[in-house]
Amino acid sequence: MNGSKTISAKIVVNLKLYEKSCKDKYLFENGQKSKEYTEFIREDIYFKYNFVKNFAEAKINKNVYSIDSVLRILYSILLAKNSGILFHAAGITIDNYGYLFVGPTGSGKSTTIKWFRKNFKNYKSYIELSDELVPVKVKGGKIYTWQSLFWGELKNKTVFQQGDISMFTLKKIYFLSGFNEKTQLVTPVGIKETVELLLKNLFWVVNSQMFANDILKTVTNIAMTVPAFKLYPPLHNDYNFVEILK
Amino acid sequence: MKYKIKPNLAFRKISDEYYIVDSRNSMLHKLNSVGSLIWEVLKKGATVKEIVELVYKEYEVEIETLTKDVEEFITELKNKSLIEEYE
Repeated sequence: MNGSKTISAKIVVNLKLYEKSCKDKYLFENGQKSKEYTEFIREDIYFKYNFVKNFAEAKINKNVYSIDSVLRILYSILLAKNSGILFHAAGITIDNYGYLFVGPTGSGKSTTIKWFRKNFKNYKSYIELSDELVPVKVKGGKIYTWQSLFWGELKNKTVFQQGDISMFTLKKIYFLSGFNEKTQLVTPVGIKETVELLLKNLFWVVNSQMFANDILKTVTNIAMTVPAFKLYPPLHNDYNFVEILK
Repeated sequence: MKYKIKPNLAFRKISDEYYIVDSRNSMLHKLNSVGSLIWEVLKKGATVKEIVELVYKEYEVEIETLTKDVEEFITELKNKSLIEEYE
């Protein structure tokens, strides 16, 4: 035994993932509390999702922003039930592969899309997936992404895909990491840090253990399958830089 | 006194560390490797003494220091409402 050796059990990360927005309601069955539904209440919205009946209802003010908010919540729930997640991210495709640029508000998602639009709009199979929220899904051990319904400031200047929505294999994830003086603009991120960064950037308002399990499983699968990097803007205006990104 | 993990948590092991998502307050917690070893035991439920014995087998450190560490860790998990007492 080595008396000088020390070890210590610790919680090394305590991180607030998202603001609790929904209020859970419970029923009592045989004296046991069981969750039945979750409610989201805002000045302009009443949204209710019944976990047991898999049924949603909403009362919404007649304006596009309120409808958009409810659709985001509903879409995120339906996605979670199918091994998918909405991420706060910009997304593009090049050569039929998807690339995500993940980050919170103000991290440069719309700026990234504008940069690609300027430098890449004539590139083979270039499609913009979103400048705000991008869906990602695990299916058959592969990770897919597709064009989002939800956009930020570029929503009125976007050419949407025509016909069926195509799914693209997600090739790389970039975390928008703010301006940095480092000469190396792209640095790899390990699986554990990828899990943390993805969890910090998911769009999620429902507090439910069932969904928390699904989301943690989906995020882990994504982190273990897709290579992830930190990207430090400004982006370089040349094709060599795009080759690095690819 | 035995302790076990509260039923309303989602957790997953990535290499040797546990990530815990508490959907009640939207918190993510990550445990270091020693904490993760203890979390593994707490899945079935254990006393502080049982935990200390298990960690001692793996790390062979001073029992007194180890007991203090485990007690502090259990207190932290209790304070964060991640485990509960039973029996």
